[in-house]
Formats: sequence, structure tokens, C-alpha cells
Amino acid sequence: MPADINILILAGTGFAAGLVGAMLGVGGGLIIVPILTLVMGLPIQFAIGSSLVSIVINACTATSVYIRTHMTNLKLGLLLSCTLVPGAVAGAFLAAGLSSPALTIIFGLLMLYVAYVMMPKQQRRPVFEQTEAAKIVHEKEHTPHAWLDGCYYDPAINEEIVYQVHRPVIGMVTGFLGGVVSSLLGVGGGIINVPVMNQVMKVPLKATIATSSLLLCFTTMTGSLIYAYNGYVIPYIIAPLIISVYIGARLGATLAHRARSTVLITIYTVFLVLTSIIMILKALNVFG
Amino acid sequence: MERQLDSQQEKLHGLNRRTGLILRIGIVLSIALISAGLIMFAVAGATNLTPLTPLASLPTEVARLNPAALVTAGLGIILLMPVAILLLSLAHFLTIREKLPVITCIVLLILLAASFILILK
Repeated sequence: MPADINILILAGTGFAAGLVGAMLGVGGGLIIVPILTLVMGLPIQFAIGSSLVSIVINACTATSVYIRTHMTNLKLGLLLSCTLVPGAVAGAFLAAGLSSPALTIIFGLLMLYVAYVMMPKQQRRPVFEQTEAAKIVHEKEHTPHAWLDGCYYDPAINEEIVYQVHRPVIGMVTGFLGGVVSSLLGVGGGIINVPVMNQVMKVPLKATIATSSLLLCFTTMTGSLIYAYNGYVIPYIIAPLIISVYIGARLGATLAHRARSTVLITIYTVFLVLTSIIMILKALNVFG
Repeated sequence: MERQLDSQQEKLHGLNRRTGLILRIGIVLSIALISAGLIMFAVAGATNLTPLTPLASLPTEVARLNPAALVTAGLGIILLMPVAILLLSLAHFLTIREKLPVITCIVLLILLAASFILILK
């Protein structure tokens, strides 16, 4: 652990993570963890613990906004959390058992995967779709899991959206994996849960994102507790991070409608690729 | 736009509003405590790598304006928010007697309790 830690760098990192996270709908963990390890020299377990506690407050803030608009499917969120929470516990214990270089390499590979997924592609079909993938139903049919079905008012199209939830068992199985990834690497886990909820479970995108925020509250809380209990959460490090992530996320949510997202995605993708390569090379001791 | 909601939806919307309110109160309290801790750290100047304050001594240390204790208290509040959502939902679904959501809430509560026990071991 370095003897001197600069609060201003921490605050800048948190602000960037909150801002970019809110503007692109991604977790800030992929910014916080590499900067804390590469720039500040923190051991990766401390970086992951700090990242998780910052994401908790971000997820709670997002949930408090989404739930008032009734876009969050509370029943579905609680059901999926039943497998996400054990997954988060498993991920945190797995991280404790892995060496720092191994954990760094896994993190670097995850960053490369996210960079590939986010890379702007001209001819590529959109990953998430609102109307095609999530077949919105207006006449509800009776299904065995009708209790999970949801509805919300979408002001963008001035319409009440009623939808049915499909294949909840698949969602629960992949939810466990999302929990493992979240706690293992200090990221949100939305990279797994969002596509599954939208594409497999046929939940409309807006409801998916809102419900994913609720899931994040439960997974990151569980992961944070384990890292905190093991001494990987230091108040001096997390205080500026949490406050600046909160400010950045609120500003990011306001700017999200005005910014040119393709430019931002390109910068973010380049950042992910470069930092992931540096992290992997450093973990393999290439720099000596 | 006028929307006709059936009574079950209205009740669920009521739960959503209460959950949103609880979350907002928790976030404001948490941010206030962590900000106070951050200011105290900044005033002290030097890097302070003390760990989180143990629960037993937390109230006295917060009263003394110990920065690490203030941050620990703020973090504690935010970590309790998901549990508050769960308890609020359980109470709501028990009141309206919706069996499957009640079972889900109880299972999740047991899983969280089991996780905490596992962490403490």
C-alpha cells in the first residue's frame, strides 16, 4: 500500500467514473479499478473493494429515480437477487483466493471484452432493442410466471407499456454468474444481466436498465461487505471516491441527452483497450 | 394522459414511491456523513490509512467527529438500503397477501442473513 495517497486524484477518478458511467449506462468500476491500481499503485483487492462501495451509492441513486417512474420491476429484481447474492458471495471469496496477477489478468480480459461489445459498428444490428426483442404485449395472456409481468408509462412514446417476463429460470442461472463477476472484479455485473433480461427474458430495455440498477444494489452491497470485513475498504480512499462518483453521476445523467455518445464511446473504448493491455502486461511482469 | 390503474397496480406504485423516498433519505444521510468525514480528512492533511471503525465503538467515535468513523457510518447507512427495500417489499406483499413475492422476499432475506453469517465466520 503506498504511504501517500492523493485525494484529488481519487476525486478526479470518481468524477470521471460517475460521469462516464451515467452517460454511457455502464458501471464506473472499469475506470476506478485500473486507475487505482496503475496510477495510484493500490493492490487490486483494495481497488475492487473501493470500486464496489462507490457503485452501491450509484446504484441506490439510480434505483431511487427509476423506481419512482415505476420502470423498475421490483418482483423480478427481488427474484433475480436470490441467485445474484450467492453469486456475489462466491465471487468475493474467489477473489480472496486468487493472486493479484491472476485477478489483474482476468480484469484486463473483461475490459477487452467490454471494449469489443461497446465498439461502434456501422453495419451491426443494435445489441438491445426496444420493440423487436422485447415483444410488448397489450393483451396479457396467462402464463405460469404472470406474477412477474410488469407495466410502466413511457413518456417518450406516450404509451403504457405492458410486458410479460419469459424464461425467469435462465435469468436466475445467469444472475448467479453476474453476481460472481461483480464481486470478483468490482464491476456492476450489468454486462451480463442487461443482455439476458432484455434479449432472453424479453423485458423492455427501459425496464431492464431500471431493474438492473436494483440488482446492482443487492450484489454490490454483498460484495462490499465481504471486502470491508476483510479490511480492503479504507475510509480515506472511499470518501472522495463516493462523493465524486455521486456528483459525476448526477451531472452525467443531466448531460446524457446533449452529449455526442459516439465520441464518448470511442474515447471510452480506447481507454479500456489501452489500460487492459497495460494491466495484463504488468501482471505478466513484462515491464520487469 | 389519463391512465386507469387497477387497485393492485396502484398499491405497487405506492410501494415504489415509498421505496424511492426511503432510498433518497438514506442517500442524503450517507452523503452528508461521508462529506463530513472527507472534510475532516482534508483538514488533517496527511494520508490516513486507518481501517473502518468497528460497530461497537462507532457511536462514540462519530460523536468525536473521527473522520474514519463518519465515513464508516455513511457507508453503513448506504449498505442498509437494499435491506430496507427488501423489508418494505416484504411488509407490502404480506399486507396484500401475494404469496409468490412474499416467498421470494423471505428466501432473499434468508440468503442475505446466511451471507452475513458466512462473512462473519
